[in-house]
This record gives sequence, structure tokens and C-alpha cells, in this order.
Amino acid sequence: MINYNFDSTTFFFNLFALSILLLPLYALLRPAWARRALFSLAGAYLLFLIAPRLMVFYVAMWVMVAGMQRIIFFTAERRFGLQFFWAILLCVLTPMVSWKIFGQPFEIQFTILTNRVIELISLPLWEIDMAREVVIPIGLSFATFRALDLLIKTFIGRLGLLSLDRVLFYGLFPPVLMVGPIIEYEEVQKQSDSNANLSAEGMLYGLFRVAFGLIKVLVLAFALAGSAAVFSNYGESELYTVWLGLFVYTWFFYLNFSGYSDIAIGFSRIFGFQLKENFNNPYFSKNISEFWNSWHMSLSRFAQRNVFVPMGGFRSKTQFLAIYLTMMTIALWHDITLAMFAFGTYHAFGLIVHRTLSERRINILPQGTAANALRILVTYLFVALSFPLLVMPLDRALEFYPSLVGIGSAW
Amino acid sequence: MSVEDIVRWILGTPRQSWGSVFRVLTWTVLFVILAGQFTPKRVPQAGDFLPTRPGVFEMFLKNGQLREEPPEFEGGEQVLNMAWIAGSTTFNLLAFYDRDDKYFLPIRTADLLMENHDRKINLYSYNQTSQRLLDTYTVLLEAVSRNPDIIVVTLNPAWLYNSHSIFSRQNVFNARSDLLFTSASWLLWIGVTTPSSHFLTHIGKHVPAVIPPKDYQKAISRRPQQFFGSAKQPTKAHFGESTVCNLETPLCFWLNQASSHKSQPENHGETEAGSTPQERLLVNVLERANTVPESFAATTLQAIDKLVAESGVPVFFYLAPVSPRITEFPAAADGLERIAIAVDNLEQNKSGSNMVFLARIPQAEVDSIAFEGDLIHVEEFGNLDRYLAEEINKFLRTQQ
Repeated sequence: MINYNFDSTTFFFNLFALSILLLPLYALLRPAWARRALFSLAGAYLLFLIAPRLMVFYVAMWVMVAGMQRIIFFTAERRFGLQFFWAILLCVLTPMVSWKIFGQPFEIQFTILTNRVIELISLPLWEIDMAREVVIPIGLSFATFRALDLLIKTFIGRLGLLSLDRVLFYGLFPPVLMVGPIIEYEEVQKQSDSNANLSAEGMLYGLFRVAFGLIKVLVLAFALAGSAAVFSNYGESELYTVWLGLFVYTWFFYLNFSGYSDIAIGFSRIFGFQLKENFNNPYFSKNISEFWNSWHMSLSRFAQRNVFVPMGGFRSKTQFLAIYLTMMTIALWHDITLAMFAFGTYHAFGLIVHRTLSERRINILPQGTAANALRILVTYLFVALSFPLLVMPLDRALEFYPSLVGIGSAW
Repeated sequence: MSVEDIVRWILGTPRQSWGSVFRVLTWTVLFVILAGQFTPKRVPQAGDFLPTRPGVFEMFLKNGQLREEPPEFEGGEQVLNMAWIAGSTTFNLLAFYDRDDKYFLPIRTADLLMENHDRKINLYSYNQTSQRLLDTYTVLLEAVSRNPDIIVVTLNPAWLYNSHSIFSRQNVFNARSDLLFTSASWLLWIGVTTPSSHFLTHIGKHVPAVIPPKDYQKAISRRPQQFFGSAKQPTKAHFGESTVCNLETPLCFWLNQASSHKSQPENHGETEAGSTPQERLLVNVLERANTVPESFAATTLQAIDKLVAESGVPVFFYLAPVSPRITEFPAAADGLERIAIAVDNLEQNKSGSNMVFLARIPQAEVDSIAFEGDLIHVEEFGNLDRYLAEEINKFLRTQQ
């Protein structure tokens, strides 16, 4: 049996407390390389606090990514360059995909293997590692996509060769280690090469943004967290409770996730790093396309850049396939399960229908405030109805849906 | 309106200077201090269920307790101040929630001690279930700083030389991480404490609102769960397999994976031994006792030895008795013997005469004890209180 007791608030609490030391040090250190090193060390230390095995794994992973970037950079234009590139992408993807496919057996083997490595280093470190709570490769999905993005951009020539310290800095960038967003290297590049003073404006904005995130996570989302019970107790709940539970849960999910993004963005801004937005009022989107442009935007941007565009998303013949593959990438990034296949298909269907209607300039509703409100409502309902697939196995989700029309619920 | 717009709207002023940052931080700190005044002083602790009497004081050092300063030790010639650092081996834990005759060994022993002393005995109880050696050390640092007349430390054989769970989620050392920062234990300090624990230790003590009130969080989060029809909450302690593993995460994981260090004896496969989940866990832990000098336990015990010797405070350590049924589990019995030998070695190599390490309770005394549920937790304490009172008395006489 595995018990997961890791709490992202613990990670951020450690990050805040560490910042009391980190901030003056960062301000005092002038060479850009020293600042990068400081951030890399802070990231590694925060991973150590979760579990030493995670620190060893991620440092090793990013050292390997630096090596792979070098190989791609020098072989991209040469014979077999493409084959090298695909082989490397496969290497990077393997741990994450194995985790998503095999689930707990992978988690167990990952934990044992990395713990064995720690055993070779020192006995006390091994003892610390076993006493730490978390036994999953937490943050791996975010790290894998960041690594992929770096390598793909190197292959297509958008990124030059990066030094090891730059890759480690990007890989271990503390605010995004656990819950994203999936940042691009360019988002941190400018500031990572700068030795400029910290700005009052950035500091103030960052502080407020962090406070905003904290309110979302600790006050609003926390108050709504109990709504998750609806996914296990729908059989005994009344019809209105099931619907209310579903709606409340969508808000819990959004507030919690976007709250952590706010904290990460705000924290980065304090140090001068301007990360792109990750959410933009997604539940007020007027159509499903707008929703996916405002929900977990860093993942959507990744999928658009690396799947939608290369698969011909802007060509009429291939656009629907591109939409489907893009949504599958987004869905299966969360988990490789039947439920997530269904989730991806459901949203791809929504996007394709919307694209078709838009291209043919078919407006089901007239323009106007009331019609816009209805559009928002319909989009929200469409999204909310996909949440059971996001949080439950397919068989249980299929049991849940009838309860929304009173079948199986206690109405 | 995006989050960016909202924050910009709040900030408002076109010019943002360091003065603005200072003002915002000042107001924030003032608000947090003010909020702390409305934060309840204390959250319920497991030890609240322990029996008490006048002259018995609880000295918890958990995070929740930081809102309340532990009481000062009484002074004067007429009072003997006894601190007792222990865990679940000193009260009838497994029957605790079901019965009225709750038994607490430190109080009984203190009462018996008083029969031989003309001084009133004040008992300062540092009791925490699942207390690991790091917790014991941290609490000992605190207790020693108060200079009591004697400190009794109950060492739980399961956790003493244990490599698989050197700390657990209760983590007293996290609530007082400042105490661990000594010349003897700075490496432990680096290895196990966290930035947030330092923050709680130094700031949380003065600004109670910054302490994460986990117990309140639980109470609050239950409300919406009840609304959405959550499963019934258990009304009393239930020690099923999953409860034990929840209490001992991730220890169960590592034991189930038969993980052991090259410095440990081979696992003898007694994973399935024991009549209860709790017993199976303890058999496995004892079997893997790791007494090598490089281990965390050995390092911590060295630091303890140094601390006690330098403090001059009399400290009586004893290894809690284990059920004679341990002979049914040969590998665990071997582990217990290794532990006893290691404690004997501590006694022989101790740095000061102001401490004693009692590794073995005589068999006659152990036979008078009724164990329940597992090998370590006790239902009826038999003559243990009288035996300990005599031994502590003897020790106290050597210290006069």
C-alpha cells in the first residue's frame, strides 16, 4: 500500500521561508552565473526536502538533458540527426509515459531504484530518504514537458547551445518544480542573464500576486475541497447535491490549480522573472476554443507549438486530426487511462464542432449580453461535464453520469 | 478582468517605490499579528486524554502547542522537578479510548517516588506517541535547559535503532528546530529540519497566526464533506492494517518492500509474522534494528550523551520492556538483543556519571506486565512502576 501525504502547500511554505534567505542573497550576488547557481541550489534543496531521491533523480535528469541538448545541437543538421532527435525524445518521454501507463508499480520501482542510489551515497542520507513522506515522482510530468520543449526548440534552431548551469537553472527553477506552469526557457532566459537590481515594482506585483494565490488556495479552494466527496457518494446523494457538488468541484479545481500558478508567477516576479499567464478566467469563456486558450495555458501552448502546428492544425485537410492529437496530448499528459482518452475525445469533439461552426460562420445564438451569458453558461456546462472523466476511472465515471439525471442517486 | 488586471488595479499607484514595498509589508505584518490575537491559543493534543493530577504539567512541543508557552518549572527546596520524556509505552494505549481506568506510568512512578522523598514531586510530562529518537533528543534539549532535578527518558526499542523511520510526521524537532542547532547536532539540523520549521520556530512563536492550524483545517474541511455525504468518521481508535499504515507512512511501504541497508542484517522474512497489524509492524522494525556507528541513531545518541554530560542534569534512560512473546519471532528477538547490547555499550562508554542507561528490565518484572495488541504496548503495567521508582531512587541517591 502506498500513502501519499505530500502537500504542495508544504513545498511553497518551504519556498517562502527559504526566500527570506534567498532574496537578499540574490540581490547581493551580481554575476548572472552566481544567481543561476543560487536558484539551482535552492531548487535542488527544495527537492531534497521532499525526498533526497527526488533531488538525485532530477539533478541527474537535467544533467542528461544538457547532454542531450548538446547532441541535438551538433547533430540536427547532420545525417541521422532526425533519428538521434527522435531517440532522445523517446528517452525523455519514457519515465513519464511508463508512470502514466503502469501507475503504482512504476511508482514503487522508481522509489526503490532511486532509494538504492541514495543507499550508495550514505547511510544517514538513505535514512532521511526513507523518512520523507512522498513516494511518487512528483513534478515529473511538468519536468518532462519542459525538457521536451527545450530539446525541440534546439532541434528546430530556436534555441542555441546552453551551458550546463543554464539547463540546471531552467530545470530546477524553484517556483515551478511541483505544480507548474510548464515554462519555456525563453520566459526565464532574459532575467537569468541579467545582473540588474531587483525592482520595487516587480517586488510589489509579485507579493500581491502571491497573496492572491494564497487566498485562492488556502481560503477559497480549501473551503470547497470537501466537494470531491460527491464523486464517491453520488449514490447516496440527492440530485441537486450531485449537480451542486460537480459545479463546486470545478471551482475548487480551478481555484486550487490557478492559485498555485499565481503563487509561482508572483514568486518569480519578485525575483524579476516574468512568466506567462497560466489561466485567464477560463470559466467565463464563450466557447470551448476560448476555454482551452485560457485554461492551463502553458500546457495548451506546449501542445499547440509541438503538436497542433506540426500536425497541420492550420491546414484545412489536417486540422481536425491536429485538434484531436493536440487534445489527446493534453489529456494523456494527465494520465494514460481510458477515462483520459474519453476526456480528450470529448473535448476534441467540442473543438471540432466549434471550428466547423466558426468556419461556416454559423451563429446559433444572436449577439448581445444575454446571448453571451448563455454562451458562457453552455461552455461552462460542457467543461463541467468532463470533470468526472478527469478525476475518476472510466467505469466509475460511467456510473456517475446517470446520477446526474437521477438514476442511481437518492432523489 | 484577468488576475494581472486585478493586481494592477489593487496596486493602483503609477509609481511603485521601495517605500511602497515597505508600507505593504508593514501592514501585512501588523495584520498577521492582529489576526494572531483571534487565533485560538491551543489545539487539542493526544496527551489531553492522559490522566493528570495537581503537580503534573504537560510539556508538548508540537506546532499547535506553540500558541501556548509550556509552564515554567517550579523552584524551591521543597519541590523535586522531574521531567519525563516518553511515548506510547507509558500508558495503556491500545485500550485507551475504550476504558475509564487510564493508566499513566510516569504519574504512578512519581507517586511511588514521593513515598521515599519528603519533597513534593512535580512531574513535567513530555509525552508524544510515536516519539522517534530525534524527537527525544529535541525534547531533551528543551528539558535540560530548564535544569530539572531529574529527567527520565523512556526509550522505545522499536524506534531507538531504527533506520526506516528516523522521524515521523509528528516531528517535535520541526516545532523547535532551533534546539537542534548545536555543535553536536548541526548535521542532523541540516539533514532533517526545513526552512518552514525554522520559520515556525522563530516567527510562529511570536506571531501565532502564521502557524498552519492543521487540526482546525481538518475540522473545517469536514463540513462541506458532510454536506456532500461523506463517509462516516470513525468514533474511536481502530488499529486495522490501513490505520496502522496511515499512522506509519511511509514506514509500511519500506517494510513491505523488504528494504534494508547493507549495514543491516538480512531480512528474515518475518513480514507476515505477528497476530495484529501493529505487531507485524513492530516485529519488522525490531528485526531490522541497525546499531552501526554511522547510523542516524548512533549519531543522535552520541549527541545525547554529550548533551547530558555537559549539562550536569541527572538523566535516567531506560529501555521500555518488550513482551516475552518476542521469542516467537527469532529475528526480531535477535534485533532486540542487538539493541540491548548497544544500550549496554552506551552505559559503559557514557561521558558523565550524571546519566544511567538501563538496557534490561529483570524478567520477573517483565513477566508481571500484560502486553496487549503487540509486543510493546501495555495493558497492565504490573510492578513496573515500583521497579522504576526504586531504580530512579537509587540513581538519585548517587547524584546527591
